[in-house]
Amino acid sequence: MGAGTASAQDMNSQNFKIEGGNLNMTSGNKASQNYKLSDVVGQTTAGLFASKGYIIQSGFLNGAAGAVFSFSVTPSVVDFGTLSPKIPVEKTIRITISNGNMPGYTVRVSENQPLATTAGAEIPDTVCDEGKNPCTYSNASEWSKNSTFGFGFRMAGRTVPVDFAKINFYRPFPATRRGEQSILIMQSGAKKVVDQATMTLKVNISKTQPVGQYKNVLSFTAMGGI
Amino acid sequence: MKFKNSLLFISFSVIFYFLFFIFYLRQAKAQSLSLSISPPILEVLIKPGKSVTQVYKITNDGSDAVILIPKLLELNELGIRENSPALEKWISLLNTDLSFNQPFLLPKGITKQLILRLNPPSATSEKDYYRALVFSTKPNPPADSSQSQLSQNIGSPILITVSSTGLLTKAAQVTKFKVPQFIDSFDPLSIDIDIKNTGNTYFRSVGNITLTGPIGKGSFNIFPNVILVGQTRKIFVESAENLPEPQTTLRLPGFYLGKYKVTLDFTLDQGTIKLSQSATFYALPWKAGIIILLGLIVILKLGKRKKK
Repeated sequence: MGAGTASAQDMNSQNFKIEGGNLNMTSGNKASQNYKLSDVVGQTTAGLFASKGYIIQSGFLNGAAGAVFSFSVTPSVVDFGTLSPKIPVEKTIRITISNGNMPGYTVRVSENQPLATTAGAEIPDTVCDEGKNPCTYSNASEWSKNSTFGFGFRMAGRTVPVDFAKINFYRPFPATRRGEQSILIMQSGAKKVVDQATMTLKVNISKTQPVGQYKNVLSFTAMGGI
Repeated sequence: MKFKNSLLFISFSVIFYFLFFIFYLRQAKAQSLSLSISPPILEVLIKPGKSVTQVYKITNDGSDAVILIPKLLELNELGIRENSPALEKWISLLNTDLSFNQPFLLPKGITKQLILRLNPPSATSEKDYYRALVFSTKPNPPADSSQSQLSQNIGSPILITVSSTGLLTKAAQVTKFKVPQFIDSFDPLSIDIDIKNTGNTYFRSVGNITLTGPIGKGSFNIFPNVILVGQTRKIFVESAENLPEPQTTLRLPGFYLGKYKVTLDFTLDQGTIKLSQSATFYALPWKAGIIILLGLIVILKLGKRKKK
């Protein structure tokens, strides 16, 4: 067995120093004809809190010990090419999440600023087609007219917000420059899932848009286990 | 000669498409950002004055090297607070070559180990501290065209409870228990349940939702998602039928007839504090009934006209 006692000692290397830590050195399920044991070496039970002074878990009852949370975004740069007035450009980004044994994950997004040139010219964030319900970064609305200008996105996938279910429904990005918080674009309470979603970016400029190279940074933040 | 030319053309075409495909795949692969983190969450109950460490592994699964910035950020029910103020000094990295907010290079396919140390001083306030260890990629330098550069952030929540006794007040309230009173027999059953954490420490709701009908009953386990102090959160069940609409606690298609009872039973973590709530609903095929009734009326009227 050998896993019945927790060991704590000082360890050193060129890169780090550990002072009597409680580390997940091994974990897993062990079984034979006579016993079945789930263990995590170095972990303690709640009853030992008083004597040891701490309980450390990698997730609910160590359900995440050894689990891996993965997050991919493809591509790493979205090139819009040459932008022409009243000719919308659409580009897609594929997002993949794999959350292992811990239930739940969220993916959020924000932009640092609207698409802008170094000279300060900007492509405004879209408000979608004119009407009673302009889109906001928390509510999608229809954007199908070529006479509507701006920059926005829509989502497709199993765990994306429901307001993207209608065709041609877009939102603008929240901008950290304006002090806006990132918004939720994927969410699930499930475990052991591999979810994919597609984000479609749309840019449409007017005839009066100054010539230049417009740039910004989109930040995608994924977090699992909560 | 004609046959030879055609064969040559086909061979060149095959080679061209093969090379194009290989090139395309390389291009597509080269553009991806992909990170993995382990463990995906850390939960610590610790006494003030004690110290504990945890090893984290961050892996670059993409096909290019990335510049990563490790950050310690505040976590709340809305997610990570991007512009967190300076946080606790008692949460630190033990690696001598790494520190928070200092970028480092992670080549493709490489895993880097980081050791996080939690060492709350004796005077630390006894409460929950919600933080996240976040790794952010630095976008590549911009090219000469209009573009959106992408930055990827992957976070692992750190839920710390500082307590000298380990005796924590856990409490919860079911703030929403939305069960329809009456449904059509052919409509799916949709249930929405929200739980609020009214205690002094986070918990996970562990339990199930039971549906009892005239001829049997079914039970659906709740996902043990974290509910932070003060947070109201919708719960979800581990049901395959729930997948197309994860915004609903339970969505169950089927045929219902008669009186049904929905019961929620859960504990706060795997403790002894148990909460329960139930509601009753009735199911009848009223839509089909209306169609049959209208059909009968039409038939009767047509019959009367024929008699006349």
